[in-house]
Amino acid sequence: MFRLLFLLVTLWSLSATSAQTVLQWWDYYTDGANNQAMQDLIARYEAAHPDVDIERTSIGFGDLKSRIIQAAATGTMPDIVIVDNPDHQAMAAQGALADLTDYIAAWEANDQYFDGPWSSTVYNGRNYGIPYGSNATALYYNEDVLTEAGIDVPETWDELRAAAQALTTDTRSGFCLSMINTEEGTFTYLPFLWGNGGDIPDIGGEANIEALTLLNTMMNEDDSVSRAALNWGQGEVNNQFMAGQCAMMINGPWQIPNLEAADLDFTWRVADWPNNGTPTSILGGENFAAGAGGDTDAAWQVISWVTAPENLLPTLQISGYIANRADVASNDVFQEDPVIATFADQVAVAKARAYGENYPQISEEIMNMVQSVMIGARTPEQAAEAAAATIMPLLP
Amino acid sequence: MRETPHAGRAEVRPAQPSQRASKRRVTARWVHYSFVLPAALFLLVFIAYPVLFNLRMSFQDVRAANLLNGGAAWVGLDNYRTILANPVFQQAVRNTLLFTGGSVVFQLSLGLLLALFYNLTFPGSRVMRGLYLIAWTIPVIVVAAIFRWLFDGQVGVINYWLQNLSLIDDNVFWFSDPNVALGAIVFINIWLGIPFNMALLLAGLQGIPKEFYEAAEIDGASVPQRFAFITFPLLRPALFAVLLLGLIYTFKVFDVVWATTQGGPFNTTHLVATLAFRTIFGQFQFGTGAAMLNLLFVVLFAVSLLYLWTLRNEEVN
Repeated sequence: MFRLLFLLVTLWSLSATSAQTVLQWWDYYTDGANNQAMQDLIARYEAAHPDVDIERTSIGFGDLKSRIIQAAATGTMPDIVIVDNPDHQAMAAQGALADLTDYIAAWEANDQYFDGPWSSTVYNGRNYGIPYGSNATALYYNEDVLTEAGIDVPETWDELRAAAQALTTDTRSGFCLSMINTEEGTFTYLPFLWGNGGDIPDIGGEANIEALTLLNTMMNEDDSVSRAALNWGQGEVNNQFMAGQCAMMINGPWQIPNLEAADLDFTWRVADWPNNGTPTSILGGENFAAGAGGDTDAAWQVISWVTAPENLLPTLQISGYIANRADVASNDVFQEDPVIATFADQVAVAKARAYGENYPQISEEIMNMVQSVMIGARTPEQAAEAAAATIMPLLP
Repeated sequence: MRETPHAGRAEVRPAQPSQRASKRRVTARWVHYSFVLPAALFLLVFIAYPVLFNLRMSFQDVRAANLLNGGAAWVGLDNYRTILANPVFQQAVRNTLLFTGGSVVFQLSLGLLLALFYNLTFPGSRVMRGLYLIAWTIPVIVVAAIFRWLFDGQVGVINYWLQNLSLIDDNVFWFSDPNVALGAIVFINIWLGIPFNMALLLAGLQGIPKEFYEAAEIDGASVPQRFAFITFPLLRPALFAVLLLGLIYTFKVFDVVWATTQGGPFNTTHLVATLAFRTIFGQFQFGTGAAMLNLLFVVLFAVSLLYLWTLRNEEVN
């Protein structure tokens, strides 16, 4: 009797030890193509590694940052977390992410990544993650409306202004973009600054003043940009475009599934950013990171597996993201479809928002600057000067 | 009051009954306090401790990098000086006062009018009353999302109807124009608050005995006179309670503003609560954000003490 009990207890404890390692995974893909891509990726990982169970929690974009602060403060960071690339350095500075420098030094793929995306994962000379996928923004346009008005796709600022003016009617804005006072607004504005040869460290300079003047003229003089744009996120801009209320818009490839599902009765296409001398776009995309205090070894196993070319490529295809490592980006998949090809070209010239750990504050000051000009509270010169005063001390 | 069994022998043993009586009194007091203990512990752990922690944090320079390391420098009143000198915070305070005043005044008066109306009995009055409470149960975020669409500058229905009625010429960009954005948000908040005010005031009205009104009618009082001399004085406790509760609640509103403008455009619709949230979770400046919230807390604490004082007055009456 005793021996039977002993046997049962041993068997039970053995089954307990050979039970699964449970890893916590956080991301902010609550719906759409990226959500599907993650579900598929995790399913494939668990199929290949039966002893690992990944519990995925999907948190809304706006809430993930505050959840991470709370988790970091209470020592309950998840093992794996997917982080928006401009926030990565700030989170590393907070001590929320595990230092992966040693793992990456021994990794054979550590030289495959493009500089832009890679720079967002490095803080104080240490590595805190690996890029997942990148995307960039570009100019979407309603081809039917442009052909009808006899207008070519704009490539320079002058052409953009003229096209927007010609395409504006009572029921339609010529040009729509997100100018809301969140990161989405900064994400939309920065390529105007960069496309004029400017950058944040000289935000008080002429390049920035000209960019502000362009947008101010289009909104307040030409009326080709709706004032409601000050309250629109990129999703709302896309809704306006799909409803035929915009002839052109700035948006990212994550809208493609929405545009295709809407089965629109007009043809839409994508073109490169109109610029004033410097071809440019802005890097979006997220990075994989391991939470501080989690199971870093197991997390590294997952991260290195999911970023291996054969596992990454199907995920990128589902989510519509562009590869940011050379061995995957060279795949024909990224050049077959003209829309994806345009975004891939934009990723190649896109800049990352790698401005140090105070970037969230810098971003807010930039949108304050833009909005103050748009509502007429300041002239472009005054706004640029005020922004330079507050932003320069925040740069590393 | 129990009679001591040895009451007859009180003269022989005078000490014993009072000893036993004092033991009973001490036991009773201990039992009284033990009933309060769970609530007191809860308040201590979940309210007193965070408030004191927040107070301490407002005197330190806590940022993203030193939140977890604990190496935050002690800066005394610097955080408070910074925010009081910051024009964005000053505007947020102005906005909070305007928002609270505007919301409460209209919520209370419209709630009172509706309560007076639904105090009359007519067919369908109960059903219609119930519909207001259903409106109150809709989540604030849902209401804010719907109103965002209604108020949209390009395609919103409100602009459409105002133009049809010839009240405005061009589209008004409600949430992009700093002159009207706060007004639009106050409008939404009034819509949200009317059912609550109406329900409480209706309860207060129904507590007024009908005999007073009958007597007044017999004496020849007109409707306004009945309101001024019967309804209003007897409703005053309920009115005051609803006013103070409304002030306390509205002063710290966050969700309506965050779901519509998030404090924009250009920080013109920030309330103290939304500005503090942006400072803490958007910019990771914990010390400054804590200072803002402490100032908010002090104001609300004072109003709450006022409310408790009025309750005491009533109990005495």
